[in-house]
Amino acid sequence: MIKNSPDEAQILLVEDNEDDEELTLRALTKINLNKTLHVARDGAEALDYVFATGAYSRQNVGGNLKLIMLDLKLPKVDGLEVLRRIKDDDRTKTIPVVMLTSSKEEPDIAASYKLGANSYIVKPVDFEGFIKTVSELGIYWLALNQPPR
Amino acid sequence: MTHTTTSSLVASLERVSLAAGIAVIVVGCAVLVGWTLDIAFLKSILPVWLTMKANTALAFMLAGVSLLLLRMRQAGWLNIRVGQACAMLVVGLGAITLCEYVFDLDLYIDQMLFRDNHVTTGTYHPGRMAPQTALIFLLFGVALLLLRTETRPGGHRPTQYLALLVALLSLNVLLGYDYGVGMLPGLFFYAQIELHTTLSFIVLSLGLFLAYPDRGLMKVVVSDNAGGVMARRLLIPAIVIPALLGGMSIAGERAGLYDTTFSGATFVVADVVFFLVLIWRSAGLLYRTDMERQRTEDALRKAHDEFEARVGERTVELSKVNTEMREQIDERERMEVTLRASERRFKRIVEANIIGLIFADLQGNITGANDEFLRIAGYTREELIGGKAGWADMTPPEYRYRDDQAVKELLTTGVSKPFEKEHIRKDGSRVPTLVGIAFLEGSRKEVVAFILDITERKRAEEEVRRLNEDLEKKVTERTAQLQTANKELEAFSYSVSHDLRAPLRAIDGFSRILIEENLSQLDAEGQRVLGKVCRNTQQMGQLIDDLLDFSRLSRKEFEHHDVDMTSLAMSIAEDVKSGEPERPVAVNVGELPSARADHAMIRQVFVNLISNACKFTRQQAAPVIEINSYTDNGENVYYVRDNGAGFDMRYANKLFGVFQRLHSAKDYEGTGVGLANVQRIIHRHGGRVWAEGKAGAGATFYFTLPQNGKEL
Repeated sequence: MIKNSPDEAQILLVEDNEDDEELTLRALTKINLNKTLHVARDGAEALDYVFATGAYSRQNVGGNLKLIMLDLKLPKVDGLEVLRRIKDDDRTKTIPVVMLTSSKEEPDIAASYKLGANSYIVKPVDFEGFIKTVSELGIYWLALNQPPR
Repeated sequence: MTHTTTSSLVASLERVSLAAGIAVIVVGCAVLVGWTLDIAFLKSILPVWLTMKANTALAFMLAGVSLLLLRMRQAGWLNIRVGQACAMLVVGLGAITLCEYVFDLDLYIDQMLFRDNHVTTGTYHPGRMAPQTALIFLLFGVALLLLRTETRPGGHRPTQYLALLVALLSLNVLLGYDYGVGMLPGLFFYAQIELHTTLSFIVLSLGLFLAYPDRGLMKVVVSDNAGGVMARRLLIPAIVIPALLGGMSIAGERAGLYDTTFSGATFVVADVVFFLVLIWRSAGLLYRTDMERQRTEDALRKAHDEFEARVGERTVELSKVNTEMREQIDERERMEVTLRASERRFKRIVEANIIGLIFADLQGNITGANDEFLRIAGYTREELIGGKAGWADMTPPEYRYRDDQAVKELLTTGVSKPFEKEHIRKDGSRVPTLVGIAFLEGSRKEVVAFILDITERKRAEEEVRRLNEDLEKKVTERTAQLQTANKELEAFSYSVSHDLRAPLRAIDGFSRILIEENLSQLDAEGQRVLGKVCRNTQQMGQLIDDLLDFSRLSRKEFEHHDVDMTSLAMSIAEDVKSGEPERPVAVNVGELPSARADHAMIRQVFVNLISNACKFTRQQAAPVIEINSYTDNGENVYYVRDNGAGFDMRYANKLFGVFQRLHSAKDYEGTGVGLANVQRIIHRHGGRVWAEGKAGAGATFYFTLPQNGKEL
């Protein structure tokens, strides 16, 4: 488990599954983005991190985030609620949120986009596909994409 | 010549007879008065004449009375008896007197009334009438007795012959007086008969002769025909003319004007001339009459013939009319039979009491009802017909408008179609009914109404409605249950898709990591086994995906689009081909009719079918996929045909089952869900799907879809 200081993190991974977390980390490590990652284990922690509340009250709202990878099914506050809160807030709504989930369900996809998700990625089951998807995601949003700030 | 002439003539002659009877009675009476008072004038009229004897006068009186009594047509029994008694006395007087002369006796009747002091010429017995007179009275008496007698054959009247005989005898005597001779030669007794006696004889004989002027000899005289005419014209002249001429001739002779020869010749000539003229005229009259009669007869015959002809015609007509009438009667009888049958039927209809029936006027006054209606309404027939309850009284106010509508319909079409209403029964309860009304034939006032008690039906309807409500409630409940189940299923699917994948990904991921990073630590067997783990993980991932697709299909909302099938098939074929660019797959897409369908679902159908075709032609050196369509029975049939592995038709029924596979996973990978999805999609569109194939000789998958423009 790699933990960066909150203010340094450019990527927030919201994931309750440790296996997935590890695999994601591996993929990001391959493209050397693992140093800028922070992992939140549930929706409440993710919101605290983004809005600098609770345990993360020291940092600025939104921090230095360039990408939030958000799972849908989360303990405490679920993914869609987290998404809604981020996109409802002027301070945070410009942060790109990519839904990274196992669900291929149409209602999930539709609801996510409606709430302002920037992308919706279904986690491939096979390892190679997964590694490839996550690496491409990281490269796209952190290297290719030009954020508003 | 008319009948009235005849009857008036007969009446006149009867009056003559009556007058004759009265005349002789008067003469008799006058003479008897003369004898009684000894008046010579009354006894003999002229002193030179002989006196009429008292017995003669008595006989005249009796004869006159007898004639008057017996000549009456409707004479009573007494009249006839008295009349006949008088006649008998006359006969007696004549007969006794004759006996006195014949046997030279004095029977003391000659002076039984008066003493005769006169010395009479020609008689030797004082007061005794002359023998001729006695004979004539005898004849008269017989004639009077026979006055009412008529022979059966011929209708002869003996009296008339006797009267004629007496009249001729008397005429001869009279002519003797007239011609101035005392007695005609050869007839000795004439001189002894007095003139007034002779005249009385003539009068009496005339009375007898004419007593029944329409009978016997007189029948001809008074008749209307030619005989009667001739008799009437000739009889009087035949008597009078010779008498007058004879008298004149004798008078001229006596005066010395001419001699006997001349007078005889003159008499004959004059007689001939008179009779010539008379006969000539009579013959002329007869001729004319006969001509007239012939003409009349001809006319009559003609009229008769015409009449016959007309009778013939009339008979024909009549028989025709008769036949027609017979036919009419037959027809009437047949109609009556029909009518009776019809009446029986009508009675049966009314009395079958299957349906309530009433007769009424348009105001609802009931004139007749059958038992079934009485049962429905609860009133007695007397109450209904007596006007105690009319149609309106039995109709609840809220149904009045229906009656009004029915009457309106009735007035326009003559019949009102059945409508439902309610009737208020006598006890106030209500009974639901079905009512139809019609005018009776030919009437615009009287109607017949049919009333069907629909209580049972209403109850059944209510039952059905209640059951429906229950059913609806159950359906709602069941729907709610289903929705819950569906939600649960969704949640389950969500869990499956989300939670089942994560462990798989972990298994696969860490196996890979193991292979990549720790391969040197594994021996060959370990590596082979690890490889199997990875492949199975991927297989399971695929299974989960397909299963989710499948379950999603049944839940997914339908959207209808006009789907351009040609371009859809083409784009998918391109996609599939690009998946295996190294293979020379030839895909021929024909002109497909567009369909009314859910675009995404049809896309999945094509994806499945085309990728299957691609997959199963892998062993084929020159794989060809044909996508086309045809129309069958108004349906658009689409098909995807390949020349690949095909299948055994024996297992065709397994093709579309979930997880059913006809080929081993080693030869052709797959989860067995694709065709199940195809079937489910097509079925949801209301179409059909089937396949034809042969092992090693390719397969064709057909499906139908609703045509564009038609709603599902």
